[in-house]
Amino acid sequence: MLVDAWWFWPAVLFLFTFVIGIIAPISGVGGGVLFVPLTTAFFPFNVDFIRGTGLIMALTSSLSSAPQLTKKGLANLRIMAPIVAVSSVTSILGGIVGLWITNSFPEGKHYINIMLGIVLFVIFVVMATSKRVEFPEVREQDGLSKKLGVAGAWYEPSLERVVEYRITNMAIAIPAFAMVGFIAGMFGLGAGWANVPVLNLIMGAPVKVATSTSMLIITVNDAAAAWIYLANGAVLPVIVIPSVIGITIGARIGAKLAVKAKPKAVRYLVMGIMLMSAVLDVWKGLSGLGYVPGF
Amino acid sequence: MVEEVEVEPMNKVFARVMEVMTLIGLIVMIVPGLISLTGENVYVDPIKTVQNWDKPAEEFWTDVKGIRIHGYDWFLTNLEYFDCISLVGIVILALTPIVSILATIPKAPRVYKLILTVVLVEMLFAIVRPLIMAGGGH
Repeated sequence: MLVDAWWFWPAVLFLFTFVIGIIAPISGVGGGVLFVPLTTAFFPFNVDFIRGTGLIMALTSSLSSAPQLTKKGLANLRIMAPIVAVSSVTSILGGIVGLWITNSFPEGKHYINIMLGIVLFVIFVVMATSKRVEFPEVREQDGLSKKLGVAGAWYEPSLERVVEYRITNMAIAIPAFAMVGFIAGMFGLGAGWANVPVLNLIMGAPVKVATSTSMLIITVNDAAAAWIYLANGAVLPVIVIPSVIGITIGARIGAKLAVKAKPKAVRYLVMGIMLMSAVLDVWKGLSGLGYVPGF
Repeated sequence: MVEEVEVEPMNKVFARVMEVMTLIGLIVMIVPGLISLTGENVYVDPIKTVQNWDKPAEEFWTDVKGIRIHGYDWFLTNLEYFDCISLVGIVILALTPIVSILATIPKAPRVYKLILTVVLVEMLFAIVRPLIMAGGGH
């Protein structure tokens, strides 16, 4: 049978990530956030390999876009460096704890499935409720941001001028990034869904700076956690390669379609899919523990 | 007329190094990775992989190759296989932020030299941790 052929699942995975790659840029959701929960719900791979792949996917896509954004002045090391000094440690811890749970307890993967479903609910709520401010006004910088000189500028084509910005609330934001780093490392998720609102709404970074600097943060956090997964054999090329290629090709098409498509409708569709996969992941975990019937 | 934005030297260096390293990493990961998908000359037998990929990583390696994995020698000592070469590409990608930070430190303002050095030490710890603390995440 076709399903029994070894190449069947990698081929399906390629098509699946290709579709995710298309819809992710249109909806404004990171590919990894869709990949990990949906693959956990519908594919036969253990959650260890899914998280390892999710991390490599998020790392690859952020590494591909971060240099260009940095050269334009949109992604800024002055913002990234103090944040990753803390969040890369928690990201490593997340990877260690995540693999420890699945490998040390017979029911570990079911606990991870349930926790992943809960995290997805949180992401859903964040996406549904957080509003973005295009150009937040920072009247006064906090002491730490001032001391570090966290500011920057970029040329904004829509305004045909250089936009200057300053950052604030660094000390308040760092614990939030620490938590996000842990979740990213533990579940193999890119963390743009959390990085962007914190950078934009708490620290006062303009939306474009927030999304770009988030990419920079992901490069460091996910690279740090990737070593944990590599050192534990949780990265299999047979799963990683079709996924990275699928999402990369899909994202290029998606980025072009995003100009024409109605982002709101697609965003609602993606949020619906996330909610569904959250339910499925929790259900799969509970059924694995024997609390509810399987599906 | 488009106004010029002066990007800080530390940002410029970081971006340039990251760009080059990412390109090298992607090529080394994808080309051998694609060849490995033919199932020829691979370290991990694809049929056994399919039969066992529902197991946690530790159990998977015990059942497929009869080994326990602590560190990186499981692929670094098997570079004659395409899937292991592909993993070297992933290593290069995971090294990219480290090398970029290392190149950036000389160009960074004094306080950022310190912060970036701290990040560098943390990243190096992530690499060597599985080697000095056997057991990894297991």
